Amino acid sequence: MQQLTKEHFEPISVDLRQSEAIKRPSLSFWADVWRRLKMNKVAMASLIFIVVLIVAAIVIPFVTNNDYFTTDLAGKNKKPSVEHWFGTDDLGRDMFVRIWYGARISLEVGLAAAFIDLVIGVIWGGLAGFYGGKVDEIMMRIADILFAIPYLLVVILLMVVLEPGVGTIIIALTITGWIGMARIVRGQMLQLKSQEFVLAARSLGADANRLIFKHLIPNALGPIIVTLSLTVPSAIFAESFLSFIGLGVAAPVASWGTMSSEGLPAMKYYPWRLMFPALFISVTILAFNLFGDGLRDAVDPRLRK
Amino acid sequence: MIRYLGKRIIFMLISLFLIVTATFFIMKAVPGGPFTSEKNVPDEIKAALEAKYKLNLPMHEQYFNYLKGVVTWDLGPSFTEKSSTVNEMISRGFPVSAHLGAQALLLAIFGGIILGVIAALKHNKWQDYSAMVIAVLGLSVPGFILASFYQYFFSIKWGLLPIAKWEGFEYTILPSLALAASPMAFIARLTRSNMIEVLGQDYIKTARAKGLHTMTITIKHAIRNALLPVITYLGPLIANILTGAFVIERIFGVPGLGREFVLSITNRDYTVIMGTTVFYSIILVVMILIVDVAYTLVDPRIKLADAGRE
Repeated sequence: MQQLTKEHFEPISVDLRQSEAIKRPSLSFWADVWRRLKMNKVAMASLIFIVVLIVAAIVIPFVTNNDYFTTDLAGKNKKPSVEHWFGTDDLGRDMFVRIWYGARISLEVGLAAAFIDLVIGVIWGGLAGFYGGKVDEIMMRIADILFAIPYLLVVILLMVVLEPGVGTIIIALTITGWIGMARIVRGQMLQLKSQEFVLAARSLGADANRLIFKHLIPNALGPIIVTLSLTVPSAIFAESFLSFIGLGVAAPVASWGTMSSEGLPAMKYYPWRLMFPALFISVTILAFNLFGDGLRDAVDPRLRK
Repeated sequence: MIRYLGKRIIFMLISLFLIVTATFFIMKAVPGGPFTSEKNVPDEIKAALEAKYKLNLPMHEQYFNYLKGVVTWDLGPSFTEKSSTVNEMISRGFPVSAHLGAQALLLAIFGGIILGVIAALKHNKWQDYSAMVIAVLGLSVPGFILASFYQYFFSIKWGLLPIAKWEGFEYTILPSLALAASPMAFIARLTRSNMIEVLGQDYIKTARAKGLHTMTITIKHAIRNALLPVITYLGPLIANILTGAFVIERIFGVPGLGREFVLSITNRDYTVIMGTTVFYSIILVVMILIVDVAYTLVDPRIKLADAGRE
């Protein structure tokens, strides 16, 4: 047995500063969100799919030998082959390239519409929620009235009048699309503005502008980003819907909606002409939806059910 | 209650007025009149045509005429289908659309609730997962794609159901299924999350402790409370089904108002576009009002004054 001597009972010096030291790296809010998101396999798979889709939509049209507008009447309605991976359409145009040009349009419309909704919605909802009272009442009434007008009807009306094209679609989609975002931001503002950190900033002399955009909006970013990520698929859906009823981009450019619309009558004999665009629309919207769901769970784990 | 209702109706009328005004001026902003497409029309005939349709009047008079027409429910003639008026088109197409829509609505509500309740009762079991996979797919696959796949498999490949037209019950099955898919998925998700929340509450535990049968608890105690949020979704649901019908009717060749509307868009038949837009808006706005009022009646906990906003 070991001899117990006096020096075994020396008091250990306690360094108070040591006990205060933070051993683990501190996680910022977004690092924490990212950590939770990484654990969600479905959301990560969707994210990877989205990134691949974006990269492919940018790169593929540059590297292929075919282009989306050259017609080849001798080689129309061809089955998928080595030369034309997704076959050809009724004018002999290569479906593979057309799909990726369509991807550009869908992504452009989805991302641009979501971004514009974000800007208008955050400003509108931020101002309404921050000032409250009469301002809030008037601003939200305007939003309510606009919201009562059926979304797709407005979009269709505008598309009938304006020149067909990607820009028009984006304008038409955002004209009432920002209201959802404005409502979310307003709700967040109302919750946040009575908290102490706002009072602190106010007493330090921060003006309304600084309070809204430096203090309140960053704290509401979670719900804003989630809403944003779910706006993208609904914009992509609306674009394909419009193209499908013949109000989309003008020929020879084709979006996925136009291609499905053209492929529909030929479904019986040339099913691939409908199948590929339909598959791409569905999987893309699915991926954005699943990613948005995963992001919502990651931003606010209490919401997970 | 009456004050709230009055306020809601006033806002509804403002919305409708804005819709009618916006529709009118948007349609007038289109370059070229309805007769510019006809080739080489002599000026006199063109003037006579415009006089017949009162297009030679100054803009504000045309606008007041149109407002008067909407109030007295006379939406004017169709420019491309010479023999019929917009009113006739609506009364011809709307019953078909309403039939299809009602069928899809019922399917969406009952299908969605059943899926959602099953998923909640079997939370985190395979039934739950498969119900939610169906729901996510239903939300992600656009109706027109679903419709064409139904046609491909049920009609072309297997020959089970007629591919198009509108001549009896079996013709209504595929369009209703296609139309109901996305609202059904939404309702299923909504019901599921509400049911899970309700099932975790104390009064359900009490009911269970009393020894009540699971069936009784689910039907008598849980579903009632879980369904309230579903009622708020009914307004958007009706909107969803109405606009969804535009493409579904086109794909299945259903002679409804939705197809008429899409046709009028491709033909640039401006009075029909205006008339149907106004008609659809009225239906939607009124439906949403009814749903909101019904919601406050069903759940007395909801304060009337707050029900208007979210």
